[in-house]
Amino acid sequence: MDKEKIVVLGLKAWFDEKQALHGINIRIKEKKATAVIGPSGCGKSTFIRCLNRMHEAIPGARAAGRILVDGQDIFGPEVDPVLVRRQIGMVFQKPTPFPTMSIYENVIAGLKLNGLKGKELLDEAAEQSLRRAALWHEVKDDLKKPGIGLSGGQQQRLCIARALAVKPEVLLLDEPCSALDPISTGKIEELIHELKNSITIVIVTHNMHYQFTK
Amino acid sequence: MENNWSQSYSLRKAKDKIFLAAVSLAALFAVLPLIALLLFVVFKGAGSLNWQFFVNLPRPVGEAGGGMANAIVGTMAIVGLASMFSLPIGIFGGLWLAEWGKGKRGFFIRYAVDVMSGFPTIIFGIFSYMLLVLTLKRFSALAGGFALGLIMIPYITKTTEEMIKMVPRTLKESALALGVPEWKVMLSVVLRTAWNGIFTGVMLAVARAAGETAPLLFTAFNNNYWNFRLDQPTASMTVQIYNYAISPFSEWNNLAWAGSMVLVGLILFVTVTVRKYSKRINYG
Repeated sequence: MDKEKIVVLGLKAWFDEKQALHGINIRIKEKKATAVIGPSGCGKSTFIRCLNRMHEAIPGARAAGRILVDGQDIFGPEVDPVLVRRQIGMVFQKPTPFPTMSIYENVIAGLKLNGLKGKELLDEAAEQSLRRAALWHEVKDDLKKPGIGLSGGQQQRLCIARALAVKPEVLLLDEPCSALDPISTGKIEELIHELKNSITIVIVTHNMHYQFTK
Repeated sequence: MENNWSQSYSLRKAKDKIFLAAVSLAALFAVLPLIALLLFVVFKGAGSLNWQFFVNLPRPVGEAGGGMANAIVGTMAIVGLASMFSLPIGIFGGLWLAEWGKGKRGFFIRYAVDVMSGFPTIIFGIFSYMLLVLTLKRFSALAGGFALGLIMIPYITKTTEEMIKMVPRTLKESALALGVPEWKVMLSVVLRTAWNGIFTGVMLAVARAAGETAPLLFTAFNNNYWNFRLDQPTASMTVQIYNYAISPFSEWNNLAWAGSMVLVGLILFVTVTVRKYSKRINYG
């Protein structure tokens, strides 16, 4: 049996008075890609946003229940959501490169803002993350150029690289391809197949033909 | 049956033309004062403007070569002082309004800022007079800077709030999702992304403050000599222009025109540059 990375027990979530999740139970296996599928507005995004405590970043939003990551409840009173997010990264629907930063700065943004110093260390992390996000060969000569100059698909892979740079154990993807063309989508799907060998992935998707088991 | 489409059409076309003519005329009248004023100031001021204006102190009537060097430096000092305290207050206040100002407190502060931006500027001068001039028992650059800073705060606050609200929420969330603490996200991502726009607002506020006269009349007062102490009466271009303009001496009147030209030129330069620069704001 595969190890369970995340165990969700009775997860409920609200936006102000409106309840969006009514007791979700799910076990997510380590180093597998788990897809969350369903009609628009059913709470898929809300669900995965709970997994790294991003849900509560919205004013008026709250959640209850238990989410055990490696056996530890991330809703525990002592748990710092900032540290949870460092371990559980997230990529959003629309690519969100930081517009004031170059490609290189974007990739290392998480590391740098968390206080990591040393050019060699950062350079290495940047290259490694970009390679893992299958973007290195396309941008290695343009690292100083602005991140928003890339194509939509490249921007999304840049965001994946940025999320990977802080070395999370879980990566949450919230419809990462919904704003992309089919070719870019294909590349990202391929990338997800590759990534699931090293980290746990939870992906919200409308795309029913994902074949994560192949 | 024959229709009368063409008849009503020509009538409507005529009405359209009259309307367009009326609107165009109004638009012309809106820019006419600006153009007339610029031409007038240049026409009157250019003759008295020379290098001595920029390097010399004011001189008594009858003595040639008087300038406004101390007033130029004074204006910079007073506006600099004003910026030093109004920038952090305005920018952080705007950040608070944009990010945490949704409730009642936010409504109240936003309302207060709006009201403040519509206050006659002389009120800020009186306030500073009572608070600083009367207590320190002297006119000073400090009091002038305080008054101008108060005038700048609502402008900076409002622009900052608007600019930060334009930063997509997803950008902030992306940074939070990297495990970055919220205060760092605010400074390094949100403020940094909105910075071009905020800078535009700041520069426009600076240009506006530099052109204020009334609040300086009884705060910074004036000075005919060099003064590098912030607790002493300090010359400013606007007050100097005021004094020269109401004097009976044509020599001084001419200097007032020259000063006006420099000031208008400066404000025009800042405004145009900033507007041009701000077009490049791109939130991706």
